[in-house]
Amino acid sequence: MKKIITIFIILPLFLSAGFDMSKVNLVLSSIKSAKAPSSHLKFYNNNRILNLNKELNFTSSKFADIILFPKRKNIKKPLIVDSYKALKRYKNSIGAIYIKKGRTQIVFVKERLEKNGLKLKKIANKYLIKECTLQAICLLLK
Amino acid sequence: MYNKFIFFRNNKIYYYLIGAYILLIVLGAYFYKNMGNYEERLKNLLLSQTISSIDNASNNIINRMLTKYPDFVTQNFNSSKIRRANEYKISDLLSDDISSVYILYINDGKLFYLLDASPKERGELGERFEPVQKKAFVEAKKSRETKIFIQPTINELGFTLVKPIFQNSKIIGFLVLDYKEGSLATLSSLLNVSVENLIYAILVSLFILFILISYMIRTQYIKYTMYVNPLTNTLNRVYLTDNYEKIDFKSYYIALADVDFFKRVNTLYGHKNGDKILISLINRINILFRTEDMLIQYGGEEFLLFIHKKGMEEDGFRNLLENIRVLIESTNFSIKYDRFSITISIGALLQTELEKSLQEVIYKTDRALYKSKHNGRNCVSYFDLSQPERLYREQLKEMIESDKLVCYYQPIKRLDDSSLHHYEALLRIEDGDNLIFPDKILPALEDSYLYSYLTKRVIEYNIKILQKDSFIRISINLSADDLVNDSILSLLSKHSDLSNRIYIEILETKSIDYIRVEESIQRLKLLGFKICIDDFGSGYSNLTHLLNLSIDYLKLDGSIIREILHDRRAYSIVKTFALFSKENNIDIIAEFVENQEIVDVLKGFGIEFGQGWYFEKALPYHQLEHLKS
Repeated sequence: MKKIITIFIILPLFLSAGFDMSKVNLVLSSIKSAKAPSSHLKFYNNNRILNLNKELNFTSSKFADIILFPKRKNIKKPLIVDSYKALKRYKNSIGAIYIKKGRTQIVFVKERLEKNGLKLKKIANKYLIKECTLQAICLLLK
Repeated sequence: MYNKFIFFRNNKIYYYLIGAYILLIVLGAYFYKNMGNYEERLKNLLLSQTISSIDNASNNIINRMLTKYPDFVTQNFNSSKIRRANEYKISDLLSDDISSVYILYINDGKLFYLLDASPKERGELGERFEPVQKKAFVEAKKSRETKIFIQPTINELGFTLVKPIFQNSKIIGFLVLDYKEGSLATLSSLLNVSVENLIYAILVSLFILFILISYMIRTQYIKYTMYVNPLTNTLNRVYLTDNYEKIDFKSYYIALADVDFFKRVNTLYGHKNGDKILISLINRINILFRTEDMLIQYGGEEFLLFIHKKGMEEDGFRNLLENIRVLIESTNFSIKYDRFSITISIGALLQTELEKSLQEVIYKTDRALYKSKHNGRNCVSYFDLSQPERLYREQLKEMIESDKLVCYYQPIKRLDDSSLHHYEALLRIEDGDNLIFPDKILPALEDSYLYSYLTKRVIEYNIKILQKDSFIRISINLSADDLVNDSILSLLSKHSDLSNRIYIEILETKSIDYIRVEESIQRLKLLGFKICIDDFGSGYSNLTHLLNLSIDYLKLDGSIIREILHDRRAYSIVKTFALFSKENNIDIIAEFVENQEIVDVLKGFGIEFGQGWYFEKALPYHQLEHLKS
């Protein structure tokens, strides 16, 4: 029993070790409702092993405002996905948090946030990109 | 007043050590604080040097691409064919150690993938790249040089190389190579070893330095404790011995003070009470001292007084010494219910600046102190030797050292049958054809160490005669000071096998420490030596002490014997002494026996022995009567 408990405690820590959790928690806590910035958004986390900040308001997928790392992407709620590809593909995804080459990558699409009545606090603005830049050619046009 | 900081004043090394110690702590703290930075910088520097080959290879590839595609970024964006071709080119840089190779494009200060030849986790064209160590990219851009840095937070990566790419003098992006964790293992371990070794070497050096400084400070502290007598809280002779060269003695008037007859205090009241008296005495002397003056306990009850010349004229120094003497003399010391006073004798030297060494100064103060003791103690004497005296003394010293010292022997005979009893050894110095007699020798040496040196030479001279001639018995003259001289006593003790043929004649002096003399006499008598008081009646003769000294012979002074036929008082004195001696089992030797009439009178008094020209004048050993017979 002891071994099982130890595995359950250690494993999430080990698996989430690749993520820079301070960045992840910071950016998640900086997502606000554009209309009521002081209200707390509710999250549903599908990735149980990710060691997210307990201060974030977690709830079931039914009552959540944002779904984190969903398995099914055809949900009519703002999603935060776990790859750049998924971000490009699913228009209901507002951002992506993933690891590439060992580095934690965080990207939020400005237009999609606005469309869902959301915004990022100033501190996280550096993670914002424009919808257009999801198409590489757009970078050249700028 | 005793200044405890005199130790620091005279040991500048102590300041240096404390300075070095503080510096060491500051350096240690600074190094400790920045150790991480140093380690990082050192590692990066060594890494940069090591990856020069891959840097050159990447240069070639980039140069070729940039030459071929003058609008490198746009052409890559627009053509997937060009992109693939370029990705193929940069894939040449991949190796077992390198996990990813890619080129990032800069847009609006942000980084995006342009090319990626990595075997897995390829970045898409235009995908954001968020670096962990932005600083390295900024530095590479700023310095326009390749940077390589360790990836401490990414588990699967060891190092990352960042190479800025310039086209038309404008930075367009970066070539990035990610090295696997454990890649460049040898280099990494070497680096770790080097850095660790460097850190250990510095830490060990600091530790050794710390130990060394601690040891030196401890040594200095131990010295300090050795330098101060904890009982009297004064500097002691060890301090003096260690600092002979360091003490600027020319800046001081120096005096040597000795507590008169202090042994009596110890004998009567015990050493514990003696120490209390000594502490009390030192405290009184300290009252008259300034902070720059120094008191050093030179012996048990001997003190060296260093009075700084700054603000002190010679007269002031004389007054100070006199004040010290009077202060001690007028103080009533008390032990339990007994109250008593003690005195000190002081010998001083004024012109210390003329002396070559502190030893010379102390030697001269000692001679001046000797003069004070000789003059009856409780006084201050100054070393003062006129030039002729000095020269004469030097001449005598040379003659004694060059074996010109001889002894002449005058027989002491039994008055009843004129038979030989023993000889008195009389000092002479042969100066060419001339003989120098004791009256020209002893006064010139009496306040110096040469006096006891002379006595030892005389004893040694006679020991040789006694060892050579088993029939001869000799009396040797010793002063009371000689009797309390340890080296003379040990010389006599060493030859105690001859003691039954040696008579010790003690010369009367103005001042005798009877207690110490009595101890020495008892010691010599136990060894078998015969004791005689010489020239009795010439000075102030103390009969009580005479009895206490338990002597064997009393030699009546010649000035009385010579007058015995003409002067009734001389006649009465000799008669009285003869009676006194007979009653106390002391034999009398009469000096200056010049004719048969004197012999007859002396015999009438019951006096047994005599010496004088009537019997024989003093002769060198080889002419002695007993040798002829």
